[in-house]
Amino acid sequence: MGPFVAALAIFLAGGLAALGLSARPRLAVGVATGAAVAGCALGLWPALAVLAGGQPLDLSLAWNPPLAAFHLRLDPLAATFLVPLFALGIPASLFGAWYLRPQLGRRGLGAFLCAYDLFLGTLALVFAARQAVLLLAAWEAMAITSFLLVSFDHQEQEVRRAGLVYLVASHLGAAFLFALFLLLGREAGSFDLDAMAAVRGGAVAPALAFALALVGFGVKAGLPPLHLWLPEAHPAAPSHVSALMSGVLVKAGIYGILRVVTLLPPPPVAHGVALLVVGLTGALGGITLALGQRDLKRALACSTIENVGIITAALGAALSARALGSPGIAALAALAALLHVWNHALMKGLAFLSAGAVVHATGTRDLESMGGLLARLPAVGALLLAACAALAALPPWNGFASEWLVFTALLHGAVSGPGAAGLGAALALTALALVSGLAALAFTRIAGVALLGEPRSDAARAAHAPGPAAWGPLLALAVACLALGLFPGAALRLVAPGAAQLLDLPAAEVAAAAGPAIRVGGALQRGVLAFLALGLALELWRRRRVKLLGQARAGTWGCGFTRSSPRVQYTASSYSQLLLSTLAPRLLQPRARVTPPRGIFPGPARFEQRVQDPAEERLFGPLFHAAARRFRLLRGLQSGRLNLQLLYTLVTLVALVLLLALRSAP
Amino acid sequence: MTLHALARAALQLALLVLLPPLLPGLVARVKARVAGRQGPPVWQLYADLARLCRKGEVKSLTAGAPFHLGPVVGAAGALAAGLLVPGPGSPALLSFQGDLFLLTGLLAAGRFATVLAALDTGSAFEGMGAAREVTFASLAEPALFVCLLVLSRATGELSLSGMLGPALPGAWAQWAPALLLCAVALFVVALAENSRIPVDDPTTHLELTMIHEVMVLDHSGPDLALVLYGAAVKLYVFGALLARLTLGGAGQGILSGALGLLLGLGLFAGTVGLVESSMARLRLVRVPQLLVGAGVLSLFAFVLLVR
Repeated sequence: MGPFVAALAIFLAGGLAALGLSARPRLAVGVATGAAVAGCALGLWPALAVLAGGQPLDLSLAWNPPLAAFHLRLDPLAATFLVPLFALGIPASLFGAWYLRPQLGRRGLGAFLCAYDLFLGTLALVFAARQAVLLLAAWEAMAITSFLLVSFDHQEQEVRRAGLVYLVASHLGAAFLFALFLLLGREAGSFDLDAMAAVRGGAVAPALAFALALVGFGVKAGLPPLHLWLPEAHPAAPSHVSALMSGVLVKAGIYGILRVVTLLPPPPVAHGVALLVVGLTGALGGITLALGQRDLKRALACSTIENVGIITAALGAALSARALGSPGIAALAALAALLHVWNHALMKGLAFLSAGAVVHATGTRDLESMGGLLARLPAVGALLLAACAALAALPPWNGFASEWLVFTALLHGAVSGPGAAGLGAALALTALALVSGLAALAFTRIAGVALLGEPRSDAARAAHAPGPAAWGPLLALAVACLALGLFPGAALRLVAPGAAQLLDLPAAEVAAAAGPAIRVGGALQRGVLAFLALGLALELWRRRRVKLLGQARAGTWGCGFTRSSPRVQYTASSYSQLLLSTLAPRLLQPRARVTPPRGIFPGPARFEQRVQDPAEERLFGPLFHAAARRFRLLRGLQSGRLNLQLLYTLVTLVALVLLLALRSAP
Repeated sequence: MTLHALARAALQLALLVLLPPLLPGLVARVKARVAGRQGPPVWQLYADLARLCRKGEVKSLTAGAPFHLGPVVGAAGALAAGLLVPGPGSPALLSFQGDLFLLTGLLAAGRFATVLAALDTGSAFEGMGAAREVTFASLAEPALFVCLLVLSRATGELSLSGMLGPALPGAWAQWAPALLLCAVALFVVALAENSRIPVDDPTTHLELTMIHEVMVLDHSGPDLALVLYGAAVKLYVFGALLARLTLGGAGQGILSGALGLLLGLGLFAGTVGLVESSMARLRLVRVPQLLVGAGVLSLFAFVLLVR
């Protein structure tokens, strides 16, 4: 436990030192980054040790606040989520040091750096906390520090709005968590999670506790329809913060749901099915939303909703299979979900960081003003391309490995499940196949429009390649993505204890459930390696032929049109138009306003398109507006005059005293 | 490994590598005969490939490295997928539980690279073809998944070689209607995945109406050879799956298996040719309906099995 507490202390010290060094920004960035990297490296060690079969680590310290206790515990489930935090934290912090270089003279940089280090620390504390009050305190601190990080560019109105949406969503979610832990704590007579786990929820209806957790933690996880803050906050934040939010913060929501599952009685099928349905909805909705986005980072944020949906669906499948008495399938699905947590952290981290470098080089997040960037930013462009391939779940990248596991688990369910269970697994598999098909569309769109073809704007044409300080940390992430894709068996052995804890099964049995194919040297790996070898051989053959026979360069074939221009290229909007206009449900279709050219000598034409999020437009928009209208009635009470405010306080106090007096009277 | 097994593996590899270019030739021959023409020889594609391999290439000024990645990854993906397809009267060279997802993953990787190669040229037409290809593939993939699920459920096997192997005749005896529906759906998916009529017309000369062909307009020389070869291998992969499904593997002997496979591939090519001769390409907006229809058909087959 020592190294983990030391890591927390380093985060705190680094944050405070950065705040103190505000006057010397270069030093402050160095100190904050150094502390973040050192803390992550130090924290990674105990987390991996626990996963590699070590004993869970426990630490209790005296803490004064009422009901609270400082009880930390690194069990396999916590460690499974801590590993991606620390693993992604190192490259993200190094990239952040490069990303912040142009901001060195800015006011508030010290506070930002402080918030960044504290954010890492509170996030680690959320995963390790073993006491409800400590967990909630860390949870709120994490929300506030991440709010500060999101609002870094607060001079832009869009960013302020995104920060506000995020803060409101976080707090509404936290309200459900307070209710949840008050209920569980009252039953257990203590706010220690171990005590809660011992009574298994007591008299609290499991469905109620599960629903509270699903809403409260689901806000952070971005489960539909609570995902609203996600596509707002991710693009607004600086890219290394987006990477951490998307890679790890969102997973804190998943972790919370899983932790509550371990506190309750073994979940019935209905809970698993609820997770499955919510997850599939999120996956399908998220990827469809991603298809309509012009903003590069917003599209990546929507894909986070998709991936969290896949994770949630796999967890739902695991819990339902466990309840239905198929521990093998449950283990396979849980392994798939936890491995996808790792994989998604790495690949989405890579995607956000490389997208950040692209945005940095071009000065725009608009896909339609990019294009041709692979030729101008070869290193960063190739890394973004790799991230897109991984996110589209293609072999040999890591996204494919976890998706293969999810599919295989559902296949087992569909083949052996009786009646409704088999049909449900088959339907889930079909939905996930559609998701992976749409993901291919979304990521060819991002990679193709942003990186390939001709530059679509002067900014893209003039983009300069950043140095190795920017892409070095990303390269490590890309290598990790490839390694997890080629050797998923090694990672599976590490996530197996977490899955075993979740499902209450022996770890050896869970690890064996993955089957021989995915092990090192297994058939799946041989297939992927054969693919790579074939590709390499064909590429070498092609190079030799071209070297022998020569290559001529000419303009792209324009099909008879000779005055080609970058503007004739297929745009991001046109790329997804066929799917969105013919296949997407009407709620998810973009609204287009077209002014066609008219008359014999046509004047200018106009085409305008806006993507709507049905959760905002149909659900939360009307809800919040209605609430705002009601609350406006209360404005009369709040005149801003001090004596009136004091009067309210007095009246409230007297009323409370009267209430107490009346209730205690016999 | 015994000598016998080695010989089988060698035969399987040889079939996978050498046979595919025959299939488009057969399809073209059937089409020509139905139209009352002589048509090109069936080995025309072999000659085309040999000619293209001897040519230099012309590369677009806009294009970069991903332009070459398309043909290479497309062909490598199709060949690697071919390793998972059961051979004549024997299991595939590589077979494991859940190998069907590797097969779809490899085909998806090839498509991803082909699409990026098309977008790399900066051409409006190639972008259009790319968008159509991925959009239709995103619907064909679920349909393919359900087809294979039906097979899997009917035979109780989780690998392609298992579900198309010895367990298949028993499944046909018990679940003939479901497997028939599945075969029809798989055939529709095969037409879509291989850009044949009624989804796409490989012989059209109008770029606006093409899907797959328009994506490779700028490829030439060895690149184009790889594109054509990869497409032929993909056709072979689907043809071999369908041949095994409909003819039930035709025994376990190497000779009878090989004969069965050749017969099945011939029938597949003939049917594709007849479909291409007898109908026109569907309107673009109708294609999704066809693919969703195929998916629903196979889902119905699955329901028949679950009942």
